[in-house]
Amino acid sequence: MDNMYSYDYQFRLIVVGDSTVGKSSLLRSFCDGVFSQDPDPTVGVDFNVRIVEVKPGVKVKLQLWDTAGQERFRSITRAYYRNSVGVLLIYDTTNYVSFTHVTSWLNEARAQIQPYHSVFLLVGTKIDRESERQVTTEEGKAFADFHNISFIETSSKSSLYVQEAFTMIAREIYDMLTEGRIHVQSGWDGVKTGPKSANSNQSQPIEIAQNVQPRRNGCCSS
Amino acid sequence: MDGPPAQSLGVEPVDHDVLRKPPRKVTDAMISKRLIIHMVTSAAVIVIGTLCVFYAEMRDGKVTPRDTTMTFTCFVFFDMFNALSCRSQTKFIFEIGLFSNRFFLVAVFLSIVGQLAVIYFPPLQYVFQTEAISLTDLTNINRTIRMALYQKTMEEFNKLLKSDTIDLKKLKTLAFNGCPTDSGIRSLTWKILLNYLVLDRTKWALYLSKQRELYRGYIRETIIKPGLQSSCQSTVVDHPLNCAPNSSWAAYFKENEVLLQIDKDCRRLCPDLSFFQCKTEYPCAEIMNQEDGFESLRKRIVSSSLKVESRSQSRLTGRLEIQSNNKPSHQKNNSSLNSACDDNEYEVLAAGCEAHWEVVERILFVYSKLNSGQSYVQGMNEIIGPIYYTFATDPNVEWKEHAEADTFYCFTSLMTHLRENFMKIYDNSEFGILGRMQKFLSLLNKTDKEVYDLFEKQNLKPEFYSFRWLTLLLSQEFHLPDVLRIWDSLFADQDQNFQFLLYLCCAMVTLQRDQLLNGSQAQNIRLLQNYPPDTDVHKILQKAAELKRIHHL
Repeated sequence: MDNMYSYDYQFRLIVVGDSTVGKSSLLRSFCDGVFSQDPDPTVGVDFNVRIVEVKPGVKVKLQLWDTAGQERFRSITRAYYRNSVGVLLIYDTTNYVSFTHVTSWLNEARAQIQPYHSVFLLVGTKIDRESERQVTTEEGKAFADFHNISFIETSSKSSLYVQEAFTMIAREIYDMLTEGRIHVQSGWDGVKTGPKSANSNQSQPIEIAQNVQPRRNGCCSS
Repeated sequence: MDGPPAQSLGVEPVDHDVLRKPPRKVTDAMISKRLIIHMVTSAAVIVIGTLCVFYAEMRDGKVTPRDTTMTFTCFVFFDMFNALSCRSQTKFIFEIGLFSNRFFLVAVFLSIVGQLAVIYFPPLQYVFQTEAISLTDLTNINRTIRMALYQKTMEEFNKLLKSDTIDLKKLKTLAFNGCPTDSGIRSLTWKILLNYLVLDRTKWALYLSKQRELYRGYIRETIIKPGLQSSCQSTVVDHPLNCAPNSSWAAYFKENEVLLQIDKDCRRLCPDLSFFQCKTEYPCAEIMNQEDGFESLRKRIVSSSLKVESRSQSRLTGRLEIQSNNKPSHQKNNSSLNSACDDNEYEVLAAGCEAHWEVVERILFVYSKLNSGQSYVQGMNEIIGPIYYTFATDPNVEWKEHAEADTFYCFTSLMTHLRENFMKIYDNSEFGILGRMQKFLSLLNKTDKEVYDLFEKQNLKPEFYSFRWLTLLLSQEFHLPDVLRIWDSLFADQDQNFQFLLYLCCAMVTLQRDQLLNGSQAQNIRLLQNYPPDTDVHKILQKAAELKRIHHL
């Protein structure tokens, strides 16, 4: 399926947050365009793929790892942080407790991802249930600003800002890549170059990447 | 027609178990009573089945070549199946392997070709007075035979389950090949296989009443008593300043967290099945008969989610309305999925009624309180669901009525085998989930080197897909009826610590090998994580049994 499409880069993202905040629903809404009210609880890790365009002509394949939220599965999901370039921290805007736990998710992700660089995005879900809201937009924004990460609120049910959330983080990673703050490295699956850029050296993104990071470039052409 | 197959039975490969059997008495007759009974019953099945076809065909009152052809064909196919089941007296065909006796296969093949020639080859048609029959007729015959065989399996189960002392080994062999769905046979078999019921039938009545009374005691201790206490003080709790870290209150809040988690997971139990949303005929009497002050789990969920979530008094009242408005809307959502219980959807939450998922929720809550070290872990709902479903749909009213207590014990017993999978502290031990996945991987290396090498090359770790398979006993991979069938085999095999599950996982991988070998890493993970749920599970089971025979762990 993914061989049919060409893409310039592949970013691996991990989605974390308390159980039942809507991680799986968010991904299903983004990848399959459908909303499922009560998906089965995730046990272990689920996997999804989608291609987005970060700027005209530059396609990025997002590999999305959907993790189980419950404490018990952390020792299993911990292994997935290392190879991720982006982390979506999810909380439920109608459940304040899930918001208070974001700090610990953030800390765990930061600790696990070292020494690699990664991009975080704070995502509030379920904004279609406005009357039940417990975490205000300002609170979410303040938290994100404090930790210097991006922030967005979404609704998987009405697919509000779902697309935007993923494009946002993809764009941010791409920018860091072109600025040279993130590199393609062998032995790390966070960012890989796609088949398109490996074949046609003239394309724009590879030039930028080469300028910045000429050290190891063709090695991840698979 | 059946000569060659009969002779080929003579070259059946030697059954190695014969060495493990005790010596036979010299005085024993070659033709034992059991053998005679077996002969008579299988003969009866064939005769009755064939006569039924003949009767069905002869409805028009006269005997046509078509009628005799159908009857004759039916008889021949019966014979072939009978020959197949004669290959071993003690083992089922999947255990000895469908292809292990090549001569037999050739002989059966020739017999079938011969039969088809008799029906469709004009000169032979003339000799045997037959006539060509359509493919539908052939499938009809096939169906009749399968029904007859199914009937035979039922009889065997019934015979075993009705004897005073149940032969566990035989029951396991039978169950390994699948329990019939009818007459509550599966429900009873699982209770025995999960070590809930002892083998001595005469002790059941007393034992069951004791266990069920004990469970009622657990409910009283874990739900009713704390519930009553808390409701007395609940007015105080609402006060935000009164959250002093009093130890019993801390525990109560901790429990509420667990309860909320269980609640969320049970609500979404088997969403494609209406069963769990329907109301049970047997709600818990103790809880339903409590006075008003008592805080049931349902009340506790509503109020505790409010307590946890609300931060000011003024907002509390507002949210109470939301909460109560919200409930019916949730029900509505479910009912659109499940047309089967549209009629009583609103009764589900009426006082005095309970939905099946609420029963499951209670069992899990009681379990989590009694096993506080382990508590509740997501995924346990997927383990308990199929068990409860099986017990609560038992046609026998007595079993059905006590489905809750029986499920509790069977689940507890099953968890003693599975608890390591669910506990973090075991993750790095040999018995924990990581160890299990490692075992699975080394088995895959033995059974399908090519796929194993590919996975290594693609860095496709077993954690990516087999974690859920192994933890949840494949319950999330297939439709419920298929899951039940798989569990028949697993429970029959459970004293080997679910070794068969590893073979099943290998079989699942191998059956998709063509796709996997041509797929990229991402495609392969997706395929394995979303295993085609319409796969014929019998194929998987058969493959797994074959792998088990060839590769020992």
